[in-house]
Amino acid sequence: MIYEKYIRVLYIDMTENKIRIENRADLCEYLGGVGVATKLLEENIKPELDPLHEDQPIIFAIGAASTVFPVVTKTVAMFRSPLTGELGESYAGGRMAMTLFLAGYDAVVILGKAKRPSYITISRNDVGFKDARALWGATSDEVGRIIREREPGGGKRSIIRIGPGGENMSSFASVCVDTYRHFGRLGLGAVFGSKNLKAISIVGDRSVPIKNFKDYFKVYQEIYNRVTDTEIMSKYHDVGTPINIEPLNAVGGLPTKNLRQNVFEHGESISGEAFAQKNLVRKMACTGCPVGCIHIGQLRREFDKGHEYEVISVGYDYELIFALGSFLGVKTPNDILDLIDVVEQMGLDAMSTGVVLGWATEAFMKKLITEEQTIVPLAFGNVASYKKAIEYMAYKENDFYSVLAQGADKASDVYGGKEFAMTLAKNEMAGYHTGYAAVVGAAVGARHSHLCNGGYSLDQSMKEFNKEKIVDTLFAEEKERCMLNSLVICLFARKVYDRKTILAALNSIGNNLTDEELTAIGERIYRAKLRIKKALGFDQMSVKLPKRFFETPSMSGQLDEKIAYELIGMYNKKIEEFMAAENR
Amino acid sequence: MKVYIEVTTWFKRFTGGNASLELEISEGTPVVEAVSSAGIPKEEIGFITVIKDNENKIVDDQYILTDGDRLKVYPAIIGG
Ligand code: SF4
Repeated sequence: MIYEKYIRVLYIDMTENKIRIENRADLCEYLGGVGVATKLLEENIKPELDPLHEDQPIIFAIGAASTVFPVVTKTVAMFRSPLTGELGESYAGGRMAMTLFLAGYDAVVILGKAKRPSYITISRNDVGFKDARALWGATSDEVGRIIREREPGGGKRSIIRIGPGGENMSSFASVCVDTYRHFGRLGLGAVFGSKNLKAISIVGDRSVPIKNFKDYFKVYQEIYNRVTDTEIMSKYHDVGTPINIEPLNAVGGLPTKNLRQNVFEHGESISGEAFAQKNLVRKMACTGCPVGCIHIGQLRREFDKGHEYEVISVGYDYELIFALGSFLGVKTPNDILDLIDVVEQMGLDAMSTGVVLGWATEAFMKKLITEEQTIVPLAFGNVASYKKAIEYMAYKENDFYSVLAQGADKASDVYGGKEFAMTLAKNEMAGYHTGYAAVVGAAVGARHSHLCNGGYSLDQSMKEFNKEKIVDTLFAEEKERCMLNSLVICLFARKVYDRKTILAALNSIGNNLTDEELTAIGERIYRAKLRIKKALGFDQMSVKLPKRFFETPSMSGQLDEKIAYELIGMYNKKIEEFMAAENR
Repeated sequence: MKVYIEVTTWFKRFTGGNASLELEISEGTPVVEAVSSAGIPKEEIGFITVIKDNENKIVDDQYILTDGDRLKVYPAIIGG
């Protein structure tokens, strides 16, 4: 809590409809954000129970500088992932961090299960348990609209909600935050569904006077100017992350058609420029961000014969264009936006959805599965079939789609095709076939996301291949990101928030941490995550990498499976030493 | 000697709106120097490719250009 020596935690028990608030001084050594959330997860997780058991917790947390500095906009969610069975960690922007801050909570712990479909309202003085039976079945857009109309507190309010995918507990269901942001990865939506929790509306109405305004404002302005006046962030606002399509396609790093190819023959037609010229209508920002990287495209869709059209606004970014575009052989911005919208309405993670459908398409081509199971003929580029298949997954239409809704790893356990089920430690791959650091980075990352340690970025900057350097850099970056995420800075601004800037920001709001303490906080958090993973049964050395990574050349050339496993072994040794050092 | 540079749309802000440029350079010039002399800041350069035998090949920053080389410049990959 800003200016206080404690972390204010709101505990919500959905079974008993009870709450309690604790001011926890002991959590300050985790700073906030992912640090506090990891510790609260460690305290509340039940390793012996299924990820979707009602006694499993959902944790949300914001950080020590949330909302009061530019681009410090994210909220972290932690849970036991139904997709991987282990550490679930996901981030979303929008207005949520601001509303939690202004409602006066650093963290929220949700336990138990409501007797009937419910939504929760959180404000400074109150938590409400509301009946959501009439909302069950609604898409995430619909439920957002209804709660906006029904509940007071517009403006400083955030509404987070699930769609049918979450209700039916698809293992990669997402939680939509304020329409265009998401807790996308690792299935938080399913954990909501398992608690009969359709939505949470948070209203923040506190006013927080800034002490020592002069010092604070000086630091604020320096950061603001670096964010807005320099080239560091302008790409994010201009073309946005879809700018990546062109370079990745040119250098053979764009996963295409279930990674059967590393170059998409229609790459140019789905580039960031193509989207900007044909569909871009608006850019938006998370509260407290002067960048505004959220790109909204317009989709004109015929909904009936006789020239009946609707116009839909759809958010897009690089990962969505990769997953629902190149990875599925979909070659126009309109078709990609159409698929994004279906994923959005169903409340699924777009990245996992695309990669799962990539596996299903190839499995169908190879006759591992039949049309009786898929209901529609799956083929790369067949948008009409994909739209149906996404809905079938969200509703678990038949046995096949019930399995598919558990992810590509599970589907390949049941139907075969493991070698082309493009997951890393059960999480579907991200859009970078850039080299060893991307593959190994996600395999060893605490939550198996490309954002754990930015391996794809290391592949790009590394001049000469060096095994030790890959392992050391991934390890150092993972720890550093634990620290950055304890502040819950949007990682797009990670180059702006160097150590000096972070310390100046924290010091100006009365938090007199030192550089060494920031390092110690990062390490403390990483160790706590590794302890949780171990308790959940994760064994780094048993991770199997799909052969396809080593068949299709990457941006850095052909990868050798043996070297990838060797790097994982080296990393594993490093974390064993790291954990042992704590015990000494 | 002369080389030809093609840039993606992002870089047009540095090249006066031009998507392709012709550059007169001296022998032995590394590719990164040639591209930066065209107005593109070095830190903005992600990848440079040179068309060789009808194929677009990634080259290292220090690749020494030869007369008539055709280059394409791409921005760095961004993300969290
Ligand atoms: S850069 Fe984009 S994602 Fe990050 S805080 Fe700003 S608007 Fe949100």
